[in-house]
Amino acid sequence: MGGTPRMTTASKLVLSALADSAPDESYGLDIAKATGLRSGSLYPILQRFEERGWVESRWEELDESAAGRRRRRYYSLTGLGVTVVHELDNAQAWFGELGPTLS
Amino acid sequence: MIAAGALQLLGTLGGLVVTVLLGVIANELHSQIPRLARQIVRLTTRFLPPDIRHRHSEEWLEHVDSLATEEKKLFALVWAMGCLRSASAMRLRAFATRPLRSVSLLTGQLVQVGVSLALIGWSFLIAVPALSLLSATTGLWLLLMVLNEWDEEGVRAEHAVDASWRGSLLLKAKSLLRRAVRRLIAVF
Repeated sequence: MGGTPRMTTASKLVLSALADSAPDESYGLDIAKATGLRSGSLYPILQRFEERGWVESRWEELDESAAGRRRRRYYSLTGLGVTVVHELDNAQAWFGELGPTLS
Repeated sequence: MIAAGALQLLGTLGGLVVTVLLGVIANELHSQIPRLARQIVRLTTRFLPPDIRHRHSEEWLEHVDSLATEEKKLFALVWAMGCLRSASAMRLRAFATRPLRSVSLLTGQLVQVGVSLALIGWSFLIAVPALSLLSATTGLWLLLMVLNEWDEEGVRAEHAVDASWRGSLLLKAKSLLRRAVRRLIAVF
């Protein structure tokens, strides 16, 4: 899977949400609540990030019958994902400094 | 006076009964929403590639259940509908990024292309000429009807010359149409 995935506003929101919650893991609804994204956008973004190795996921270890609910899939940033978030922050800061100069 | 009062009372009672019934139906529908949302998710995950189907089915069902238990039943339904969009995007992505590994996949694609070409060919060779012929015939028939109608509306009596001119035109058009139809029958 070469190349860089599309970096949309929604993608950045997901990365930021995962970075903010680190070192804790987040499951889908947590990320949706943090970003305001709906299911139609969120899952494909998470899938793309997993394919790129920016995000990893695991199943919650839970006895479903005892807990009375289904197990959750938890997501967290990988080392590569953390690097990407830092690069994005740097780029954003650079553009922020450049903004007043340009205007 | 008494009859009017009785009617008013009946109307009020009827309104109350309808309100209660609608409330019961709305409650029933509201309680069925999580079940409907789960069904939508189960159907939706069938669109996903088999290797990720089970995983997403479990994950999305958990989200729908969580929302439903948080008393956000309508939101759970909306969430389930959104899963359909996700599934179609993920399916498309899986198809686009999957390499052509086996002959069977290639064969499948060739069959798809063949069927598409056959459909396009059918539409251009048969459907389009047939529809054109049908619309042309209908148009001509409508024109003849109009001309005929015009002749019969008494215009002939007032404008005898015009009417005879239109009459001869009508006859010519009819004979032309007959010839065209005979030729077409001969061709087919």
